[in-house]
Amino acid sequence: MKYGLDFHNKIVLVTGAAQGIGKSISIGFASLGATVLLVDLEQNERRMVEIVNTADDVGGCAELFCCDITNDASVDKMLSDIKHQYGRVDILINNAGIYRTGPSVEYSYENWDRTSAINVRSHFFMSTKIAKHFMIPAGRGRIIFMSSTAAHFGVPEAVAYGVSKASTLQMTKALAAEWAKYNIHVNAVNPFFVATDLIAFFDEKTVESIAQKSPLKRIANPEDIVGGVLFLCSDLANYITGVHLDVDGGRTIAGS
Amino acid sequence: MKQIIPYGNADKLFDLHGRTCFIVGAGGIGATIAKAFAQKGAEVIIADINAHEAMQICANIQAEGGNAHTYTIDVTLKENVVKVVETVLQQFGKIDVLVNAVGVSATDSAVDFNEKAIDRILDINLKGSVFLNQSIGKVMIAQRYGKIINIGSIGGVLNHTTCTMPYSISKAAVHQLTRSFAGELSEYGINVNAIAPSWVHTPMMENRETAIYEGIRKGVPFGRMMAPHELIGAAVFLATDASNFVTGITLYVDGGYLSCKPLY
Repeated sequence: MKYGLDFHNKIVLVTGAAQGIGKSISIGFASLGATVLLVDLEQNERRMVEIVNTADDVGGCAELFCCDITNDASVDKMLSDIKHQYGRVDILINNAGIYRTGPSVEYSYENWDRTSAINVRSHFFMSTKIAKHFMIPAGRGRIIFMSSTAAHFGVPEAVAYGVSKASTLQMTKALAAEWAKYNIHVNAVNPFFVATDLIAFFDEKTVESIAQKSPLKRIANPEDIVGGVLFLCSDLANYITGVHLDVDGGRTIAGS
Repeated sequence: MKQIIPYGNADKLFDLHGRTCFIVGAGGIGATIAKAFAQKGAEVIIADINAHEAMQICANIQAEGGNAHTYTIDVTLKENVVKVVETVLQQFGKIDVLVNAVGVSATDSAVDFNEKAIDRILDINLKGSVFLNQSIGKVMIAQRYGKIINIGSIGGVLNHTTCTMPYSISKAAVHQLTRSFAGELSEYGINVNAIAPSWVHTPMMENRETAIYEGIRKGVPFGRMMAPHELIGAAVFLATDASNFVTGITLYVDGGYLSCKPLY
């Protein structure tokens, strides 16, 4: 046995692939030979074209699919195209997400519903459709939910986000249990605070004080998250399913 | 905000070439990890109280062209642990990775468990683990680098096996000492993590009753016991740069066992 990582001949679908963690994951897979299907909104098409070029540079390949994953018809159309073009999806990374904060007493229906639609509902149906049409017939597959350490503890003024991420942890466990018989592994990766556009509205002083509370004394870069995702999707994790991997610089196990 | 540079050569993340790995406990799990790390180009040092066993594994690795050395260690004696670690450091100049795979068990009912047997299990599994994390932790503080992997158990999380109370206590302690050392050593760039396997098909399991196998078939989503080699990937991940932002965790390698309870 080689105990290495090789994603040649693997089709990897990444949602929210245009930037941040999704971008790093996509390039990470491409560098190990994968064919990466980048999924993001049409407005991010230009960014995805850049990733397609980078994927080529690092020895893999990528194709972009403009799709609003909260639009069921749009998802069905995309999956049908993928079926015709590639015939399968081996690995699914449920990464797309939004982070809308605000005092709970002022929180709007719209923000609650939008968070739930993107962070929870779309991931569930993307997973079930891909399992049904690709992974169950193939008798194997890997699904990753990008959750968050916000699933473990309360974050003031981020209740909708925390609830959505706790939901994906529950989905991870339940789908892992339900689909183990098809040799589909379902795991979650929990980053803490990652330097992406999702948190761009925090000022530098706040970011610095968040970093200082973390045992490793810094916040994560998207690249820090890639290793854990690649690991869980590789042969190195053949007996691992239903777990959440905290990639959080030790924040979860630390005191206040 | 810091400039984001996408990761374009991810294979380097999992590289073990040139890493000096100190593996304590030459039983099933330790031996399997030692062989795999050597195959991946690491310099492997195997230490066990049983010199013969360690030497046999070392010989196997060398026969396959790997780089391996052995030491005799009694982890219940702090001065012995310190001495062995000093000797290793003198000879190899650094210790990049510790795999703490020490572990003994015995079975009896919790209410009747013999005091001497309890002491022995806690001395080896718990205090031995503490001494190893202390001694190697000091080496790694000086290096400003290191990866510590403690082998825990699902038994340290729930009542996984009957009649192994002291073993389960010791493994719960291993998960907590992992958090304690992770918190204290993080500022020096040292990652301390645990791996918690469920049943591993090692020689220790050979003589267990068939009821265990039936329970695994029904209770573990993957429906089977894990082969020793299926634990290696977790160790590779936690020993390499792939896990640089991971510390203090207990990684369950359990075929989905912890994630669900069958309804019937």
